[in-house]
Amino acid sequence: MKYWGALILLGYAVIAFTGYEPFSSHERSKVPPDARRGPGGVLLWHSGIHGGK
Amino acid sequence: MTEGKCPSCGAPVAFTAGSAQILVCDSCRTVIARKGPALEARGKIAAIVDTDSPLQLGIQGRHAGKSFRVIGHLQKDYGHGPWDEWFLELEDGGTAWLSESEGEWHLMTLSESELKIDWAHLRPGSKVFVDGKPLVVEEVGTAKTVAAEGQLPSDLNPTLEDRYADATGASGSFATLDFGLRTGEPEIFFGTVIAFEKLGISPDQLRPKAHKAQLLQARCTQCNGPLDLHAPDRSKRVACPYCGALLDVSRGKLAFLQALEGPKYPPKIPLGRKGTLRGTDWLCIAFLVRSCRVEGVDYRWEEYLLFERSRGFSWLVESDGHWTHLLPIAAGDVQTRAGAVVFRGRRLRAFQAVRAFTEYVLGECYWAVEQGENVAVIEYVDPPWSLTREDSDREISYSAGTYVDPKEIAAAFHLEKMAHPTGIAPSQPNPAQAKLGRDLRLTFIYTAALLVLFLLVQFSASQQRVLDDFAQIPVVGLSGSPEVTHVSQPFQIQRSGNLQATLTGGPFDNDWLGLDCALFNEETGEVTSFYSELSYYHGVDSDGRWSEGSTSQTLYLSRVPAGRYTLQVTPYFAGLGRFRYSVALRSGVPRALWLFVALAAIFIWPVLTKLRANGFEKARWRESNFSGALQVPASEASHD
Repeated sequence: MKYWGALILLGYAVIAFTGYEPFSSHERSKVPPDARRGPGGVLLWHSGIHGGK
Repeated sequence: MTEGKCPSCGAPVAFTAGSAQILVCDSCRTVIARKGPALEARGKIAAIVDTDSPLQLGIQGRHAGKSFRVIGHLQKDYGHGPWDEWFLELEDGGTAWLSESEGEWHLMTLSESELKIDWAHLRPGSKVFVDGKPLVVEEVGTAKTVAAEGQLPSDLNPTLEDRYADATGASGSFATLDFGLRTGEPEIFFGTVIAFEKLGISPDQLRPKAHKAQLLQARCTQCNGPLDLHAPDRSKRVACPYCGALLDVSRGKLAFLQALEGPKYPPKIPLGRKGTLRGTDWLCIAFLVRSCRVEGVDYRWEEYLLFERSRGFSWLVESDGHWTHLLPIAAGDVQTRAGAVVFRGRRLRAFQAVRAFTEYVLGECYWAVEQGENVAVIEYVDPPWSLTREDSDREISYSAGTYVDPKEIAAAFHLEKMAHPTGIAPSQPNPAQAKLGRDLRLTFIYTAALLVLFLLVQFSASQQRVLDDFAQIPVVGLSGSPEVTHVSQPFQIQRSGNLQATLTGGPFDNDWLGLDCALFNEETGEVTSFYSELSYYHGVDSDGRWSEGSTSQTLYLSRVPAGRYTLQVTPYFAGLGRFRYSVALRSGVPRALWLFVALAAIFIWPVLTKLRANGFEKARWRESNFSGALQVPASEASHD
């Protein structure tokens, strides 16, 4: 219990102070330098997420 | 003072105590009664048998502010060896009795209380009230006055058998109900257990223990084997370890009683082995194997009698590798309840009731042990405490103590091999229950720490609203095309942390809207992509109206670094793009969810410990034969 409680406390502190979200479904990537922009500043590049019913 | 000559032998005799009516002539053992100035002979009585009592006539002491003098001495016997009773004259002319039983001293005075009880109806365990105090009868029996010396208050007749009952109460109170030849209206001698040291008798007055000391290195009367007796002054029986002869040691010399069958295996603690158990240096002086039969199955256990001169006797009981250390207690210290007893404020539940048979005996015993003797035994437990009640027709006895870890026994008595315990003992401490208290304390500490941390996070979080944006999808726009994609104005996230995104859209009518969002860090080129789908469907079916979906969603992005960002939203939809939507972003938003998850994780530990504790208790009580009313098997049901 001593170690379990300390682990939980540490885990909560890490999440609370770093803003880590364990179950977030977002993706991270880098925009290539040669990615083009369209009218209105729209970046003509897609990270991979596609919606749709 | 009345002086005169013995009517039988003519030796000079003197009544020095006003309370004395009887005197035993030192020369010829004649019992002399005082009748006014005259002296009458009342027959003869045997000389005192040496029991190694430290008292003798003429000894003076002081107790409760009064000095006293020992002026008379009786020896009574109920057939298993004599015990001593000493008649005291107090400085104020009063009298008292001092008796010794199994190493305990009882100081009693004649009570003026009257008891309307019938000796024939008294049983061990019966309750009586003396001077308003409740007492429990421990022993009911008859005894003869077999020897006497000095001055005594009442007539003696060694041929008559007196009826008596001994009772104990709380805090060492003790009473002897002396019925004499009657069955009712007993004389009541009431007092307390007293430590011998508190009698104020100077050591130089005490009688040296010479006679029984000779028995320390006696030889068996049957096989001539050497018997190292460790407590000959307290023992009544000795079972020879060589030939199995049971010898009477109560009358100052060894006398053969019975040939016993020896145990089939040696004792785990050898007789004569010393061991320091919980601060007391005990000596193992006897080994018994006892058994009981439950539902046709015989169960055996071992008992080791331990002795220490100032503390008396105690028991180590071993069963299936589990050990319990028990000390004798007074019946008056135990209050009986339905299915339980209360001892020193502790409630112990009845666990099992059996008829226990003594199968084998080795060594010295302080009672008149017999092979095959059986008593009803009830065990009460409140782990690690155990309390045992043993009932015979004549006597009731209690002992109480605690479970002892086998390793502690092995260390105390220097035992190399110790069997690993099997099963769960009635008084074995519940390891999970022991942990539960500690777990609950830690749970409280960690819960408090979590709440403090949560408050700290609440106060220190930036909770910065970084973007509130709105867009209307052109009706002619195509799903997922650059024409419907919306790019926000640049915005600044001051501190890195999580990012809360709230997306709201509409209007919906059995429709959906997917929002593909990309958060661009203008400084690093890193993009964080996330997708949310909003919808609202409704209709009517056989169950009535229904609806599903949500027109708003909140997501959390993990650890978004500080920096300058833009948000690009590409909508996906079916049919015409007639939707409008809004996006709100907040950074550094503390979440109560993680607090609850952490609390749940903390609390699951004591919950699991409690479940383990309950499982242990269920397994323990499955072995109990207590089902509301304890039924001790009758002695007729003895096993072969």
